[in-house]
Amino acid sequence: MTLFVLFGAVALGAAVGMLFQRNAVHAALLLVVNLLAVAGLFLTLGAEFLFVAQIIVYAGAIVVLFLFVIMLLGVDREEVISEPRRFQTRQGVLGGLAAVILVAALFGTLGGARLLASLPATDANFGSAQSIGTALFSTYLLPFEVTGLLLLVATIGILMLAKREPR
Amino acid sequence: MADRTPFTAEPGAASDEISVAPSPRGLGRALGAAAVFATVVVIAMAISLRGKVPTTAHYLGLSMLIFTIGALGVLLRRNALVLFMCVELMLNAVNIAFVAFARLNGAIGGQVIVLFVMIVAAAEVAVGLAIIVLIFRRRHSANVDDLSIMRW
Repeated sequence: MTLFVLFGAVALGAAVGMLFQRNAVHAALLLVVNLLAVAGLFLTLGAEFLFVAQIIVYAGAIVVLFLFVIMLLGVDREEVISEPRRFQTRQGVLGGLAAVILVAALFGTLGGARLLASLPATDANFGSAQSIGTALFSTYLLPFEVTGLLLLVATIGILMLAKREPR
Repeated sequence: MADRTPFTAEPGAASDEISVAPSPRGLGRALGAAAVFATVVVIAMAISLRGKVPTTAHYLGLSMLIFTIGALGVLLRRNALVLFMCVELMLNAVNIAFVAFARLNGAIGGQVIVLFVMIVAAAEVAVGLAIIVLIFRRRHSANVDDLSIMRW
């Protein structure tokens, strides 16, 4: 319980900080805090492999890519890291209203004895690299191959985008 | 070259809305606000969950809240980079729900799909950031309000 409250609160706080932070670099740093807290949540759910993968892939690679692009575009240029103005009151109120409706609708689906019962115990192997690898290369082999194709397409797409046009 | 680059139709139109530089103390203020918010949430959650164990519903509720915050960020923010970060936030919130359901059902498939989500997110960020860099080269703006070239 303590761990859930701690990680959950840090994740929520960092997410809210991201929403109101105008500087893109600071938003990226808050995103790291959020992702690490979510990794901790994965650990409390017994997903050890995903805990490590989350830190390496998300906090290690994706956010570094964000920061890299910010640096590439120029971290000292206002038009890169800042927003033209704070979001207007009208949009803020409408957005808040939409958020309240969304949260209410989502929370309405919560309930039932199954969801509200304490989490069932699992064997120690659940969520380890071995169990995920076994599932990945047997039951989920086809999606795994498709993922490889997706990465290939993304690589080719980036190469095409990065290619300079002949003048 | 010029007729092939519709993005550069109005030079200067991109930058005249940017007026206020971000305050150097912005990080401290935002971190402070986030810390205060986190503390309040900790106290509220600790009181409401006193003596209970976390259930699937708790994880799902947290996932919904973070997803909503990410959706709000996508709707309200204008910086294309921050927009992408908020999309990552939403994907990540969904991952929490997947892992919680995997634990509830004792099914490893929920965790495998989180792995796929991570891979797709990485590919999406790589392509998206490449597009942002290209747009920035031509428009000198990361503001999505300036990118109305495809409006019909």
